[in-house]
Amino acid sequence: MVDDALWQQTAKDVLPTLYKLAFDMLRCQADAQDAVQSALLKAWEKRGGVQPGACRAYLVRTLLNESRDMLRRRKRVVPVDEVPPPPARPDLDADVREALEAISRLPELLRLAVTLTCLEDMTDQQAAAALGVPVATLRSRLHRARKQLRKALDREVTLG
Amino acid sequence: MKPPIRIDRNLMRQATPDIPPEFDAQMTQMIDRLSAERKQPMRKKISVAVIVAITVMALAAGAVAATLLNLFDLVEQEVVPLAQGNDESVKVNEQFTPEELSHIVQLAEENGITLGENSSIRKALEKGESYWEEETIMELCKQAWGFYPSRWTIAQQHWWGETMVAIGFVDENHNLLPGEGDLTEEEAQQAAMAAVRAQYGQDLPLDDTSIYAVSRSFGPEWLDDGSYGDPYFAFTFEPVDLWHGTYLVDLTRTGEVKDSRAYNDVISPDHYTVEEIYRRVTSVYSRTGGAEGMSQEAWQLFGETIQGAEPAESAMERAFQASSYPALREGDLTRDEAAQLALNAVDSPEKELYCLVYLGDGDKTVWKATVYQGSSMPGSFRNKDYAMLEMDAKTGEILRESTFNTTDDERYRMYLLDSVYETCFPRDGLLRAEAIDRAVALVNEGRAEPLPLLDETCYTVNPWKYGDHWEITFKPADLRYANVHVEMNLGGDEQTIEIEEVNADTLFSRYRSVYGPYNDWSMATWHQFGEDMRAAGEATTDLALLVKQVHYPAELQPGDISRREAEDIAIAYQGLTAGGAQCMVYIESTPHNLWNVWMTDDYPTMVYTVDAKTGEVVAATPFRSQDSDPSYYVFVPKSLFAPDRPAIEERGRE
Repeated sequence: MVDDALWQQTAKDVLPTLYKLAFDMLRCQADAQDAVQSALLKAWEKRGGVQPGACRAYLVRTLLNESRDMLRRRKRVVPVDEVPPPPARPDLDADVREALEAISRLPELLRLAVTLTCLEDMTDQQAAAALGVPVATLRSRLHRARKQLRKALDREVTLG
Repeated sequence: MKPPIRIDRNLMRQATPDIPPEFDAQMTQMIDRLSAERKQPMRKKISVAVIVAITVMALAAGAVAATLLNLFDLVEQEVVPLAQGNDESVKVNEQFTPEELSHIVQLAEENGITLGENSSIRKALEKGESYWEEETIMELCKQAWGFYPSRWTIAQQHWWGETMVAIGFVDENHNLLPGEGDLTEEEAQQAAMAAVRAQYGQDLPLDDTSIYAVSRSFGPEWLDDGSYGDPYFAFTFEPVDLWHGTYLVDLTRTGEVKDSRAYNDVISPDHYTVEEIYRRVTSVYSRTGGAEGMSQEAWQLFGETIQGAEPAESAMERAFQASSYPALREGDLTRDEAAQLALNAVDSPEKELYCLVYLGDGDKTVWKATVYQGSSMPGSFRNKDYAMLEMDAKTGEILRESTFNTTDDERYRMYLLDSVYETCFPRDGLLRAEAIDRAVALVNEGRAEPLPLLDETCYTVNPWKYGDHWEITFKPADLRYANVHVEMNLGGDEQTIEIEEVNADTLFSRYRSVYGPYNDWSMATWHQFGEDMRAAGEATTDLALLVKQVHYPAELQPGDISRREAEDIAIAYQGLTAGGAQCMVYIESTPHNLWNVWMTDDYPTMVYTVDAKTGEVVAATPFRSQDSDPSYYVFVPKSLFAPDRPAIEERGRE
């Protein structure tokens, strides 16, 4: 099981990414902060069952579950399109802006696969563990994501 | 020529805002505090013999049989086949149609499972909407087994997981069943209680259901390489009152204690803060996990309890301590009456009560209602707000109306009187609606003819708050307009404005904004696009210059092959299994018209040009990442594109 010092360090290292992931899913600063805090507490409670090498993936997975729960609770009262994807920043290069908008429109399953492998530089194995899916499934999602991005952007896309 | 794009860490970092520094610091402190304060997990092992000795009773398998059988039959025989049957070959359909939902509700009721008035399935049906497949099954299960899935039996959780796999929601079921040689669920629970008591106190009332609820799971452990190890039991004893702590125990499948922990959240009745009570009361008394889901009794308990709390240290604590949550006074409107009154007062095609709180206000009492306003107009920002009403609890008179939006980060406003909220929480710049109004004013300042930015037939509004600034994009919903971007600080007094021009160069992006991705454009849209491009005046972009030379027929010419036939020819020519073409464009050409078919199932991406009269593939153009934008290949005949290609590529490199 992971020791407390490792957990502490890993949690601090991955904190900025947890926030970005939560924000990406929830698109609301307050909700994202709630999800991060709640995920950290839950991951701490459950750290006993986590192997040292899986600590980062476990934190990410707990955060995704927490955000998803929050999203589901929200869906009960708010239509899915209530919170639109944030517009890409106009100060960015037009190509980057277009790419970010296309990514934000990907279905969640595909978007998370792209985010984890590109933003967090996770290996396929780590990203699959974080998402709780087999590696083959992750690769299939990345393939589908790349295909959809190519379609949306009308250009070749390289991930990672 | 557009280069290929690499989506990497640098690009992705710009997708969402960075963690706010103050929140980063707060969470870092929390991580340090957790590590410093918490006890080390217990590693003492308990023998299998002890566990067997303390086993009290076997799982009463038949106890819930009547409901279980109905639910199992209903889901396995009716609901799952429906979910599987509506999946397309290449895509999993995630929602039930209203007709399917209606059928499911009828079957559920015939089997003794009656959905409540607040059921999300019912609400979807009332609106004639589709609803999530997994949520539908979850609601049926909750109705039969209880609201919290973690408190279902391990057998129920396993069955739920199998069902999710069957409908394609997840790929693997991680909710396993104990096998031969493993402890039963009941044996494991008794062992878990014994472990907690051995370490934290023999008198802990873990089996008193008025104080504790038990969550359980049996699933695989994660290993270093991301694969799964042996399954293990995890039990959590969660308090359902304000004053007890949480205990967690993990057991191996044969009953050795892997880990045992106390979540040190015991609140002392002699020394506690408002925030501690707020967190506990929302955790215990709200099914949604948020204060909006609390009953009036829970609010009353909260209000009474925080009177004895330590002096407030934050705005939130000050605000709650300045508020009162009394018992319902005689003669006041009941909760149901107040709810109905609030819903009647909100003028919106769709509305739903989100939160209702009974508050004291001096010698008066007030019902504060927060009502979600649905919209029949997608994209409408104004109708995505929540209406807030403060109503005199005796007369029902509406004392104050305001709006609330999650973007504005005013989450406590719905639980407090506005007067209290505004005293305790200072404003942090413009609210969302104000920011939009400010952006509109800035854009139209000095314009002889103001842009109709708030007219939903002309623009859709996308406002977003990025920590220290607002970004508002107005996307055209009408070809007469182009994108408008406004970025400004939170106060709205420093801004940059970008207004695209309506010209030939922006026509493509305007068409995409109005008609969606060009992959889905109809022949009529392509035809109009070509006509509009030629009429749009001078162009400078490569794409506009090329499109000006192309004609897209509005209809299939007699004798030409159909879109579907051209697609089949391209797929057959490609020789690979494909879900279909990504984009197809019908182009006027001599001696015959052409179908350009863009396939992305292989690499490199190919654009096949099919003679629309003979069905012959006359060109197969590979597109590699070092080549130019494939849209040129798809939009124009190769003969037109090829001569310009070197020049275009040269410009792209520049």
